[in-house]
Amino acid sequence: MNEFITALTEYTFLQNAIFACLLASIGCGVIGSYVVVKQISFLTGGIAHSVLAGMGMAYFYNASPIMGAIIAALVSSIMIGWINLRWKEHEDVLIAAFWSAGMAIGILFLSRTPGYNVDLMSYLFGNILLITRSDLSLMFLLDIVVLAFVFVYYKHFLVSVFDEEFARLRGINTEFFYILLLCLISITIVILIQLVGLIMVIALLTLPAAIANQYVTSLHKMFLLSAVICAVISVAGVAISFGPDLPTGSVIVLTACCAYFSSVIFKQVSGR
Amino acid sequence: MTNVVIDIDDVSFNYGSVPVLENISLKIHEDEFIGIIGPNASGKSTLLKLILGLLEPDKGTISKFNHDGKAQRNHIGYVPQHSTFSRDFPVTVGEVVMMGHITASSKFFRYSRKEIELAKQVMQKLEIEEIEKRQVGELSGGQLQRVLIARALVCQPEILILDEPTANVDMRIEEDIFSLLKNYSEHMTIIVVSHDIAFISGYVNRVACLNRTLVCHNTESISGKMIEELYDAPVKMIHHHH
Repeated sequence: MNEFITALTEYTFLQNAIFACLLASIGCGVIGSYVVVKQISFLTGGIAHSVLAGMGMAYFYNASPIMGAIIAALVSSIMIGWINLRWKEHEDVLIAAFWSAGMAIGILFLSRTPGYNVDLMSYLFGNILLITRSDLSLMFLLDIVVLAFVFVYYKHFLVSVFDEEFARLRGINTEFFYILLLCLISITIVILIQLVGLIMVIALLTLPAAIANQYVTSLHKMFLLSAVICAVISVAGVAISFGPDLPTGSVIVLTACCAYFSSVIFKQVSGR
Repeated sequence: MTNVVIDIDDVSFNYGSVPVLENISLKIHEDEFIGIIGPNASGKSTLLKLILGLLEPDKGTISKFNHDGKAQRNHIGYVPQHSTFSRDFPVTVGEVVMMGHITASSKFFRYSRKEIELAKQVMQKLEIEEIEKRQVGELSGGQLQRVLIARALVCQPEILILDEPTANVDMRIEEDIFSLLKNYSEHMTIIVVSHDIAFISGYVNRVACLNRTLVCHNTESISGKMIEELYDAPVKMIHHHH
């Protein structure tokens, strides 16, 4: 642990990693709470995996993979949302199709891209220690976008997620807010991909919020608590993985799982 | 009881090829307290959803008017039968009641002082002000029902629509809820769906019996024979005197 703190004062890449954890926790806390209370973690997983299509194309055309990721995430969330609103009974199949098609398209494009790209592995499994200043600025910008929407439309999201029928009776366009929520989820996925990679993103969008849900009575308190939990878990993951040189993304995800199961057991033992 | 506030004119509705409602015509007047009764799957909830505008009729029209006789849409408060939210949703009683103030043009987190004041008054009337900070998932059936009624009243409706408001509560609470509605019905149109004709007939002005088609009566004239026709089985009549 001491070794980690000494290293933290010396190396900018470690400082960047910690900043990245804190920035990611903001989006993770707010949007993860919506994913948990609306019970759409599988759908979120689908969007996360379909992001690979955008990254693959971006590599092939020699464009910025993170921009490819943002575009692919937005496109797939709008498409999943729109089809889902009209074809509700097959939601899980639809998600499975997007999930696998996104991966397949991504791999096709990558197979035609000359050379093996190390960067790609870091998007699949995360490599927080490679995060640069410009990555941090982008994460910050995306956080601002997510927070701005949630801040302005908090009441609309709350009533649409809690009781969709009632929201419609109040004249709220619930379909619009459903798709907007999926778009905010996809932006948050892109923020989190830098930390743990697209394959494990789902852990950070569900586990910290699910832990928080066990202790709060209001959605805005859940935002705050799950952001704090996400920050603690991801910083702890960086610290634990640093000494023995383990893959940071995996350690963060396992820390989150341990925290979640500990919390469930604690709640069971102590009673509600 | 002069102005018509809801005019249902020859409405039919199908779910796919299954006819649920056929040729329903019904005029509901200002400040009327009307009960809609019928057996399970008789189309009661569907009729409510048509009135609310959540469903569109396949045939016929439904017109709604406010007290000036102008056409209107949004002055209806609705208390659903099944609450669809999950029990661990992080939201308090007070926050659910405040949702009655949310409209398409709401912004940000805060509510105005006037909105908070109105919600407090409604919660006092419904005797739920002590549970304001509780999470809705912890409530009993009767408490939850009161919270949902409070939320509908906070919308300041001219018409209040309730779908089986006492399906999950015991007899004593059922009486409480109906006497409360009786008080509100003096200056509000109330439509209640129920399967329990014997009980609601003591409170409402009029009962509409629904079983895919509609027969409408005054409460006084309901006879055992009509109920037998409606439910297709002998029914024991219990007379209430309130």
